[in-house]
Amino acid sequence: MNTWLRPLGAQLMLLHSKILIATATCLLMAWMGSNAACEERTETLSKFLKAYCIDCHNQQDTQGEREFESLRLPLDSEASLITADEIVDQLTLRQMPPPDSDQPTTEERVAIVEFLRADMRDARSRLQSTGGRTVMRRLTNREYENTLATLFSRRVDTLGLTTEFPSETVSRNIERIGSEMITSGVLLDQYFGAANRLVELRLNKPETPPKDWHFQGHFVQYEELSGPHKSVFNYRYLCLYEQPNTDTRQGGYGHIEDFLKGVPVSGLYDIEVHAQAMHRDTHYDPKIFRIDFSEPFQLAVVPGDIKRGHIHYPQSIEPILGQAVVPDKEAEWIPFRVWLEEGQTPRFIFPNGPYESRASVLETNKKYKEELKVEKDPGVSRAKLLTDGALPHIRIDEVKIRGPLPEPSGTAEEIAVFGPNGFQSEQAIEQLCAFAERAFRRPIQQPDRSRIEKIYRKRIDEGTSERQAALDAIKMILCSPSFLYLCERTPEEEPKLRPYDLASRLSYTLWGVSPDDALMQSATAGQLAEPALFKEHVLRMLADARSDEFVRRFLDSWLNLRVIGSLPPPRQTANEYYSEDLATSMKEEAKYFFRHLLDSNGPVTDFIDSDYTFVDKKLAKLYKLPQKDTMRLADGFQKTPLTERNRRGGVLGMAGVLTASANGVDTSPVTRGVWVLENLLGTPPPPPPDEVPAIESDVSGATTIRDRLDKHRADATCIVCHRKIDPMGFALENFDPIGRFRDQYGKPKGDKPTPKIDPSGTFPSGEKYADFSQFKQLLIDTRSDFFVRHMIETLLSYGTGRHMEHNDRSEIEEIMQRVKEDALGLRTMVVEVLTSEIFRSR
Amino acid sequence: MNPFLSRRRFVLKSAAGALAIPVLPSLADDDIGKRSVAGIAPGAGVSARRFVAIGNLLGFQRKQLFPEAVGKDFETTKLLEPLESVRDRMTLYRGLNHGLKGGHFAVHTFLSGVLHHEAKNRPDGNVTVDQFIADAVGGQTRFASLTVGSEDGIHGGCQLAWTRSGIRVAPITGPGALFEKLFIEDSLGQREKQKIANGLQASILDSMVDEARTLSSQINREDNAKLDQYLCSVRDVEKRLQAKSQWVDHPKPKAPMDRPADRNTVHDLPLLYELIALALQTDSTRVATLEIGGSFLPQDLGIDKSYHGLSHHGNDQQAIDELIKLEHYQIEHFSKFLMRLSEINDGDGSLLNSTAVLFGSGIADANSHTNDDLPIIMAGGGYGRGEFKHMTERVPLCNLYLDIIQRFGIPADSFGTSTGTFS
Repeated sequence: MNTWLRPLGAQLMLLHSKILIATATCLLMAWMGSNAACEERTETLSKFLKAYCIDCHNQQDTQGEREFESLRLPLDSEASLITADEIVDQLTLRQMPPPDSDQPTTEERVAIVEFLRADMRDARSRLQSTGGRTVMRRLTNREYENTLATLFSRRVDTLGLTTEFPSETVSRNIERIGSEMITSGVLLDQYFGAANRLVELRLNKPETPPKDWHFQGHFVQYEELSGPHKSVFNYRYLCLYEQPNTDTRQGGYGHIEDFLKGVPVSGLYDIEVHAQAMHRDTHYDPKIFRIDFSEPFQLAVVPGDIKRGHIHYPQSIEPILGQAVVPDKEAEWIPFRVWLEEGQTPRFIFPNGPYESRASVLETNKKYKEELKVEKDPGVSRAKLLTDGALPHIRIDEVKIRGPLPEPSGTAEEIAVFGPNGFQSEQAIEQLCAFAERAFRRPIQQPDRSRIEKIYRKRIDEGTSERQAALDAIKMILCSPSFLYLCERTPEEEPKLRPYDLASRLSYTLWGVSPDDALMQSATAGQLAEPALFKEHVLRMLADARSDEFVRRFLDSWLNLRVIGSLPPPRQTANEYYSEDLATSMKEEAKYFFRHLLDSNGPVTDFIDSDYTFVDKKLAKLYKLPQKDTMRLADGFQKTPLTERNRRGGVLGMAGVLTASANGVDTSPVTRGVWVLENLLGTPPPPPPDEVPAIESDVSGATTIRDRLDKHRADATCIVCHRKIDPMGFALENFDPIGRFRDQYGKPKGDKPTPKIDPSGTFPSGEKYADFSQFKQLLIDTRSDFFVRHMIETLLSYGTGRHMEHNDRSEIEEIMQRVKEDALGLRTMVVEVLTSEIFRSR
Repeated sequence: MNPFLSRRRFVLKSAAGALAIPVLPSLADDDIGKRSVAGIAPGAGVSARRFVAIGNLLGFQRKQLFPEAVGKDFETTKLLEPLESVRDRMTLYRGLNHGLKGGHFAVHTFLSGVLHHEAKNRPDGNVTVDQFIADAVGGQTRFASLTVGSEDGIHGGCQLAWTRSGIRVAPITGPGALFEKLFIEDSLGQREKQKIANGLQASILDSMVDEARTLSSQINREDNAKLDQYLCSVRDVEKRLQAKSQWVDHPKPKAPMDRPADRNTVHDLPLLYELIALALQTDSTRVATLEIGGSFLPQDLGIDKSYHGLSHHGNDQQAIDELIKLEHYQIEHFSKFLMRLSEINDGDGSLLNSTAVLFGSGIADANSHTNDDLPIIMAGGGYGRGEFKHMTERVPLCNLYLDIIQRFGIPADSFGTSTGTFS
């Protein structure tokens, strides 16, 4: 998570501490000069320090606490970097030299600060260098789950195997950088627990004949609903009143009281629900419910587990298992076929249900008091509403469950792990070795085989059955470094990856999962290094829908869309973000846009500005596009033309980017400006001093962030950076923290005038823009090389699992040249990256 | 051979030689109210830091709790009366909160500062301070933490403790169950099962080390640091596994009393406190939480009304008086708990010296159901300064939690919504 995406009060400070880490590679390395130049620069620094600092900060005098006499350029250690950083901070803040000593002129300050920063930048990239090599990396939590689902040929998200894993370390927004990823004891312990659970639940199920359950009546509801439900219905109905995961939970999760213990064994179950959508045509004011009554009500099934938490509350394992539309006229049977794990009970949710039931009941009771003929204040009482009212909800009166459905020729997992005939004790070692080969993504060698044999025999010696011993060996395989790590066993002297390593790298990049048979076959045949064949695989895999995994994960990294949802906007002012689940739509827009350019080989500059985007009905409403009146939810995402009046187009017009670059509550030209410099242009600004005073948000609303920034910018040392940052964010002030267009800020307290938004700015190079659309044009006119280069670098880093360094530069320029020659097509760029030397090398 | 591997082998060997768990002399002390706890459970260090949090679901009457005078000279208010005897060993805070709203629906944030439904994308979710500490130090005791509370009431059960992954920690619901957990051995079958699982994990770890050794000769220079990290992790797991395996075979401490029967939360409250004190004394755990509310019925104190109903007192004097009676009772037993801890030796000091005890509520005023201005008392563990601190500007309660965490020596620079530390 970006630490600078915090409330405005703290963001400048945080911004300052964050960015330094991200500066290393993509910047010009011109400072790395000859020895003579170094000496000259050391000389310049010494002169300054002698004049203003050394009196106190010398080696003899401890009063100054730090000594600068030994400081030499280029900086060569973490310690010298810290010293330099402190000098920069103190000079910027004008805290040093102390007031009673000689002061440098502003020009001197600025010059020395710039000068030190450049050297720090270079030193950092040198100190962090991995020598242009990818450091052995383990699978990300997500890749780990994907791989297990493939190996076991069944969804594993119902097991929540990684819910307790430590979260991934993100480096420059990418979570698959080998040198940064951490493996801890906690994680290894979790790997063991996960393998144990997966294997036991899926491969060691007791033989269980299918059973039928039939539930009618006794649908006990959430505590506060229980009273009215008992008195009005005697628990005859199971009612869903609101979407899940609200502030005040009431009827967001419908469970079956007589089925709390859940299913006896993991398996497929048929669930039939007799349900009806009630009062979708309600005459109550729709504003009370904050949902779109023109859309049919939806019913979905998620698993619940009383051992994991309250049955009425959100739980950590909650994938949607099935979803359907509920009829309005009369109740009908709705069938679902769902996968449930042992002990899980189905729970019903109403994904497009009212925003918050408790509040809407209060409001309805109040507003329709006369009509409902209630005498005293009924508060949150529902009894009357249920008997005489028209409260929109989903009503279920009968549920049938049947399962586990038999799999006569063996379970999918059994076949995937042991082959078509299931486990055969006389072939145990062969079967286990074959599984290990798939798990390790390479042919197994003698030591692998011995380890498998060893544990298998050992378990049998300890008295377990052959099958149990084989299952234990599988657990061992799933904890093995060869499974958990992308090992890349290419010998030191060979720069290029060997075929199996290359197959894994490509497959995890594009599909986020282990290589498929076709790729493995080419690797086995030793042909994968052939450029033509390799490119064929790249194109084949890009054309496959599974490459959506690449698109989504790359967008999480490149545009930092991963943070959407982690800094949620206030429910009071942005309720549609919740009621419409906008976070999902936001990410989908970016995905469709990227996919479109990838499939059509469209120009990457469309990411900066375009006359179209992809919206569903929800985003059409958020963007106030005319399509909001014609689209249906069922239409999904549609390519939609834009005119200048729509003030959208390109990623900067996307609600997802505007949300990811805000902090939920406030927007700021600083955070958004940094976002543009860092993510679009690849030129992150240097870090400001740690203790820099924050720009406080003005609670009265009378002054704008721009006014306050102007004050900040008046300081010569601050403006050095802010002249570069702020103009990259001013134009985006036209969008609020969830990306809604606005041309003025919120109404201030009292009778002060509402401040208007000034979206104009001047680039540090002098070009001016008046508004958002001119801003984008200016980016294309003046910054498109930066944009293209940074995108190529990010693709390379994402694919290789390492940050790009100075040595990569010439090939990056070559790739850029070829992409330009092909009209900046996105597919060309991706293919060029994946077939590059950099990608195919260790 | 990779020098790291040989180093690792050496450590393993020496660790295996020192398998026996040290017995604490101080904890063999039999000063449990004249009841002898002979051969009390072994544990780790004397004076190890401990943490107990007690959370009430419906707040306290602030007018009758908070004094006017700040500092050491604060006056003894009605609700502070029971605490008079431990006055010097506690600090009362006013003005700490999480900056959250939601009344009942935010009570579960008491120990985390984060709403459950907003936890999903946070790296540490809505982890509560007790679980955060337990994650770091829990491996050293039989139980990483103990969560005691109810499974009923208006909030649908104890909402005090949450894990990093947003899972509520299910509470132990009464003295009977808590007693069994602390003193009654698992069945032979359960222990056998645990042993088999531990044995399998040990074999798998061996295999992982073996493979890593093969790997270290094949991989490249730049990867060896990562392999070292991996092996360190293996070693860490081995240590945990050793500890786990030891507990399976190691007898639980002898019970100082017969298994108590559950009565009701009101009458069981002193017993729950006593069992928590015993859990700390026997070093069965170093982290415990106690929830008071869900099943705390006024009827058991002779008030025939619902606690929640009363809490919306609407300034009705009788209702307030009755609430005070309930709250007074809770504070009285909290005070006795502190006294109890102060009487148990722990190294050179008492158990209260090494235990930071937090008492308070995630709701400030149940009448208006606000979650700011929370009543917070800290005692023991270096927090007892005999003071009343009234912050005029809001201080995030998480700052205090971060302070508690850091005093455990846990390297954390933030917790929940902390902006720094405070005590």
